[in-house]
Amino acid sequence: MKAESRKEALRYFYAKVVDPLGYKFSPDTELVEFLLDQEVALEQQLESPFCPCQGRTQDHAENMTIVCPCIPFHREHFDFMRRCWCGLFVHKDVTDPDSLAQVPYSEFARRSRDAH
Amino acid sequence: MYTLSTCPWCKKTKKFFTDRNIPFEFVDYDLQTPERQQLIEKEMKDRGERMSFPWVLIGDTLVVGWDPERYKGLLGLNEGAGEGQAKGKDEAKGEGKGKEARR
Repeated sequence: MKAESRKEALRYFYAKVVDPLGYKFSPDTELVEFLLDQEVALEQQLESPFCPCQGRTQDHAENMTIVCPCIPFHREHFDFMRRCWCGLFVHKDVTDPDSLAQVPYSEFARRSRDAH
Repeated sequence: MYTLSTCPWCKKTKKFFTDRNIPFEFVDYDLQTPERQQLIEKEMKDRGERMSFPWVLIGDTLVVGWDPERYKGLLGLNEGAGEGQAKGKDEAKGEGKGKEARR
């Protein structure tokens, strides 16, 4: 499948998957296009559309947790940020994605511990 | 800094340093050998982090994620406030030409 066709297929599929999770594509269309291009290239190279902003390791099971859309595997962390790590998806009520920060996992875990 | 060649936030981070003529070294994790990747993975996980990029070490302080305000603070840059962590779209999605060195 050509890259552009695959990109559109991923766009269609992702929208259906993330909607019931309370997420949508980021309103930052330039970012979305860039990330989808990267995912198509990663899929062509590695057979899965991995997150372009998270690193793969030798652990296959761990790698499966960063196949896009990876929200279910990082739900609490991403809900805390109201975006996924790469920013492809944001909470449905987000209109200004630039206002959302990338919060490191260690900081999220610390804040979660402090809150309990 | 540890970065991914596919990550737009990593590109912004590199450009942040390049635009300010701040020398930096970067390693694109995804372009390394498996052996080198394992060493980097251990370093990241030993710090309690996941494999999330960019990963920037300024002095002894680690900054995970695109965070220009923290970069400025740690570098002692006084460029005024107002640029939120996730701001900086004009930091661009491409890489600039500056003093940088890939390790």
